[in-house]
This record gives sequence, structure tokens and C-alpha cells, in this order.
Amino acid sequence: MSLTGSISIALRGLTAQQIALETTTNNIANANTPGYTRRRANMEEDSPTFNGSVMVPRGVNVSGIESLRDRVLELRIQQETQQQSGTESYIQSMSEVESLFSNTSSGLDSKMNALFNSLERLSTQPSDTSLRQSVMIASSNLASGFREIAQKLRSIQSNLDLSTKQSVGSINELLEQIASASVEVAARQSIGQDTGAAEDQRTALLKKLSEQMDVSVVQTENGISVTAANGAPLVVGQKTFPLKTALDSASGTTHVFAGDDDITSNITGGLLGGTLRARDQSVRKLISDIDSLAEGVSSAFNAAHKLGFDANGVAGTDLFTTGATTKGAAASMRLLLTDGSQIAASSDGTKGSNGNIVKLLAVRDTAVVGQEKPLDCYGRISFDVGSSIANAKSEAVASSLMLQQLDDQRGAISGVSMDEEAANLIRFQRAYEASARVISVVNDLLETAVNLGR
Amino acid sequence: MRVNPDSYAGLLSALGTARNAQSRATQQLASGRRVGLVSEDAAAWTMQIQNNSRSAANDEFLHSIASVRAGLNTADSTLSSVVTSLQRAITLGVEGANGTQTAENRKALAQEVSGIRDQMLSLANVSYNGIFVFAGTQNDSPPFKKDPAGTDAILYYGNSATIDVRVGETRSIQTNFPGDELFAKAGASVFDSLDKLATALNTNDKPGITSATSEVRAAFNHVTSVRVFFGNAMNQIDADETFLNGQKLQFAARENELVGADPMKSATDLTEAEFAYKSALAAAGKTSTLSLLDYLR
Repeated sequence: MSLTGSISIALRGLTAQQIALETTTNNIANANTPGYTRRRANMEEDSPTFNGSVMVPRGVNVSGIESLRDRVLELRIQQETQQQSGTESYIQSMSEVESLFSNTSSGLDSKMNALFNSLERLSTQPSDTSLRQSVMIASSNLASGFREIAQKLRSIQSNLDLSTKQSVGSINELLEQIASASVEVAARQSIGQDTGAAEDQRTALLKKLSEQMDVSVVQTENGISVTAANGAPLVVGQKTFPLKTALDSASGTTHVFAGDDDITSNITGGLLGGTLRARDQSVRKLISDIDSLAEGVSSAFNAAHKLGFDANGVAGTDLFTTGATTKGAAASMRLLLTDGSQIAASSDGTKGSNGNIVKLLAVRDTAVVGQEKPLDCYGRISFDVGSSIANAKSEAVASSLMLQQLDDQRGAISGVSMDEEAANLIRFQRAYEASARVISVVNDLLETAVNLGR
Repeated sequence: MRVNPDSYAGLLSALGTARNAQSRATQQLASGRRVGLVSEDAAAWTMQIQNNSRSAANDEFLHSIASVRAGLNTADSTLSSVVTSLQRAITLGVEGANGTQTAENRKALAQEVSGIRDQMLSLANVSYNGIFVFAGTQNDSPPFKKDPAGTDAILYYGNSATIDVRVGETRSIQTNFPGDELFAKAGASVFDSLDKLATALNTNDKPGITSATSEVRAAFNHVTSVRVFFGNAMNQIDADETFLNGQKLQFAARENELVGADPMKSATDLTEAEFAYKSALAAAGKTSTLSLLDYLR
């Protein structure tokens, strides 16, 4: 035990407090940095030496700087982010679809009503050319209404296809970045350095990846491994396995591949999951529903129209055409008549008869798709759109509440509190001052000791 | 226990929620609709599709009734003239059957009867909006024409078909009465009886005059009974119209029930949302910006 020993202990104290002060300063500086995890300088007593039976203390040692994080919680945040951004991107993808079905004045239902009403009006004066013309216009409007809605649904589908490709592009970029962040974490770990900053970066990247698709992250000895929902590897340690896209000829849409496996239907979360759900489930079903409705309505009208006679006593022909197959029926629905006189209103060939109009009007109450009448079918389609969006909206609210709570929990563990940092600042400042004071006292003592010899 | 030092995230989301509620209530008040998008209430929206369709059809039935009524009125007023003229023909027949009449007088009467017959022809060929009312469904040309072969007979070129027009979801009404049944019914034919009367008067055939007069009377009775048909039809569509107008109110009420906004509720919602928004703002404003750092000197 010596005075110089005391100086050395005080010096180590100074250094330790200085490191702690720096850590505190860094915490304060990064108080608003997204994804930042607060750090703490861990101090421990340096193991003392022994001079015979006398213990010689060696002061303090900073064993390391620790980032205060809960990895399980971060995993939960990633999972919930996948869920939330999945529903949110679904809602966004479907909003345009919803507007197609939220039209009160020019929806398909009002076009059907207009046709039935024009027929009803023609029945009061079946030989009136202007009333026949208005039936023509209403029929042609119904056909163009079907075409329009089919075209819009298709363009929505192809836009979603485009966002699928873009999303896969950003996912692949993120995979690269995650792998290189992992390299840095591993490098720092191997030389015993603080991995906080690199890990924060990797966590932020994983969160971004979670916004894009659902993945699972497993911590391994060689770093982390990120896998897609079907278990296909995306990042293993420092190696990446980028996703690929290819056009699926059967559906005409872009499919996503991990290696050789088509994982399109496995992706349910994140932006990509939401987009795919809208594209492959909702919009695809809508297109086929609208096609069936177009075909059903058209063939019911055709059947009724053929029973009658037109204004010239000629037997009625097909009213509409919808192409050869149910697929694409709505997009190719057209009015076949070219003149109002061709409308088969008469049931006996005379001009004044309105007997066949009743049969055309009966389409309103005819089952055209399964057991459904035209408006029932359209109503069911609208209901499907509305309820799936409404469900997604309530899911989104629930999961954003959940996410907020998880973020709160994460903040409670990893967030920077100014009060706490200020308290630490005072504590480390005082300790630093005290160590400096010790040096000055020892200095006085040394001076006294040196002066003893004068 | 450590709490999340960042309280702004929660506050921001509370502000967002309140703002959303505010804009929704404002929109409801402005548009008068509770459901503007199908996802806001898919079930109500779907029911409204049906309601809207029935309501549109209801309006169309009202329109049909107006149109049918005009046609029925034309027929009825025409028949009223027919009845008046037939009455005059009967009077002439009775007058002609009187023993004091001379052959000359009867000729003069015969001329008037022939005039009535010509008038009957033009009444039987009455048209409304280009449609010949008493021609069945063959109604684009005059149904009654003189025999082209040169005989004095009047021939029917229409048909015996009736026209039914829908005036309700399950109601339809016959809007015409075919001319052959009306003017040329066997034993009560307007044209034949007048023809016979004119001939009998012309030829000074007293028993013929009497029998022809009773035939005209039979025709008169027949036409009068057909007028009842039109009267009934008009009464029926009046009743239908009243019913449809009632339905119209029902449909409007149902629409309001399904997708309409309750102004009181929307206004209350708006006030509530504004209050929530203000409170969240106040909370955000008052969140302590102080920390221990402010006290370090």
C-alpha cells in the first residue's frame, strides 16, 4: 500500500467515471434516435492483489458497455409489425376497390334498376320509339357498367402486381443490409467490443423487413437466421438467399420464389402479405364473382328476350354477349342490338303487345348465379368487399394498439429517460470530482512526505 | 418500475383517433349519411341496395300509373260520347217506330242514324299518343275500316289481345278493351245495329225499326257495362297510387334507418370528438417539458 498506489486507484476512478459520463452523454444525444437502445457502463471492482495477508485494492474497472434490450420483446414487436403492416397494406390496396362498390348513383345496382325501370316504362307504350331507345341506352349502360368495373378491377390487380415486384425488390435489399449488419455484430463480438450500435442497426433493419413480409428470426451461434413463413432461409449468418419473382402463366400474376419454392401463398404478413392477400384473394374472387354475375344476368336476359318478337314482328335475338367463357365475361359484355326496334317487347308479334316485357322484367326475380337473383348477388359481392375491409380495419386498430403497448414496454426498458440521465450525470460528476479531489489530497500528502527530508 | 420516457407516441395516436372521429362526424353531418363507404356498415349497405331497387321500381310504378290513367281517361271519355250517341240513336229509333211518322220523315231520321254511325267509326278509331285505343295490340293503325270490297259493312282489323301493365310488385292492370268485343259483339254490335236501324228507317220497315232499335239498345247496354270496366280500372289505379305513395314514404324511412345519419347523434359525436381532441392537445401541451436537467446549475 502506497501513496502512488492511491493515485493510480484515483486515476482509474477518473477514467471509469469519464467513460460513464460519455455513455450518459451519448444516451442524451440519442434520446430521439429511432431504435436507439440506451446503454450503461458496467463498473466492477478490479480484483485486488495481496501483499502477504494484506489486501491491496486496485480500484474500479469498466467491464463493458451494455445495451439494455429485451430480445424477446423486440421479436414480439417484429411479429406484431408484420401483422399490422399486413392489414394496413390490405386496407390500402382495397380502398380503391371499395370506392367502386360504394357508389350510390352509378353502381351496377343502379344500372340494373335503370334497365328494369326503362322496361317498366316501355310496357306502358311498347310501340313508342323513344321509350325503346331508352331501353337500348339502359341496356348498353349496364353492359358498359360491367365492362368498366371489370377493367378497373383488372387494373387494380395489375397495380398490386407491380407493388409485389417492388416489395420483393426492397426485401432483397434489406436482406443484404441485414447480412452486412450481422457481419459487423459478429466482428465486434469476436474482439469483445460493444455490439450495441450494430445490433440497434440490425434490429431496425429487421423491423423494416417485418414491415415488408412475415419472417421469423432465430438467434444462432453464428449470428441470426431469418426465414420466410414456409421455413425457406433468407439470411443465414452472413449469407443471403434473395427472393425471386416470376410470372405465373395460369393466373397472369407475379409469384414469389425462395430458391425453387413458390412461397406466394405462404406470405401473409407485412406489406407484401397484404398486397398478395388483396391481389390473390379479394380482387381475384371479385373479378370471378362479377364475371359470373355478368354471365348470369346476360343469359337470363337473352333467354327472356328470345321468347318475344321485336317491333317488326321478328323473333327476338340475344340481347347481350359476354364472350365464350365465364372468365372475362364482364369485360366483354356488350349489347348486341343496334336499333330500338329490335327490342322484343311483344309476345305475339304485334306492335302493341307488351307481353314479353313482363318476362324481361322477371329477370329481376330470376336466380342468375346459384340461387341468387341479380341484385342479391351484387349485394352479396358488395357485402364481401365491405365486411372484409371492415374486418381488416378492426384488426388494424387492435394490432396498432398492441404495437403501441409493445413499443411502450420497449421504451420502458430501452428508452432514454432524461431524469435518469441527469441523475447519472450528477452521480458520475460527483464521483469524478471526488476522484480528482483524492489525487489532490494524495498530492498534498506526497508533498508533506517529500518535505520531511528538508 | 421504469416507464416509457417517451409519452408523445401515445399522445399522437390519441390525437389521430380524435381527429378521425371528428372528420367522420363532420362528414355525416354534411352528407346526411351514416354509411358513406360499404365497409362502414356492410350489412346496412347491402340491405339498402335492395331497398333502393324497390324504391326505384316503386317510383316507376307511379309513373306507369300516370301513363295508364291518361290512356284510360281517353277510352272512358270516348265511350261516354259513344253512349250519348247511342242514346240519341235509340231516341231516333223509338221516334221512327211511331205510327204517325211518314216515310219521308223516316228517311230524314235514317240520315241522322247514318251520321251517328260515321261518328261511331271515328270514335272507335280514337288514338292516344299514336296508339289506337280499341285495336287490341294491333294498335298502330285504325282498327275499323269500311269493307274495301265495297259493301257498307265495317270490318275490324285489330285483334282481341289485352294489354296488362304492372302497377305494383305483384299487381298489374288491364289497360285496354279490344274493339271487336266492344263495338262488334254478336247481338250487341254497335255498327251492325245502327246499320240495321238506318236501313229499316230508310225502307220504312216498321217492325225492322223496332227490332233494330232493341238491338241498338242491347249495344248501348253492352257499351255501358264496358264503361264500368274502365271506371273500375281507374278506381283501382287510384287505390294503387295511394298505396305506392305510402310505400314511397316507407322506403325513404327505411333508407334513413339503414344508411342515414342521425343529426343529433352526429352532432353529439362531433362535440365529443372535439372535446377528446382538445383534451389530447391540452395533455400534449402540458406534458412536462421539464426534467432534472433543468435544475442542474
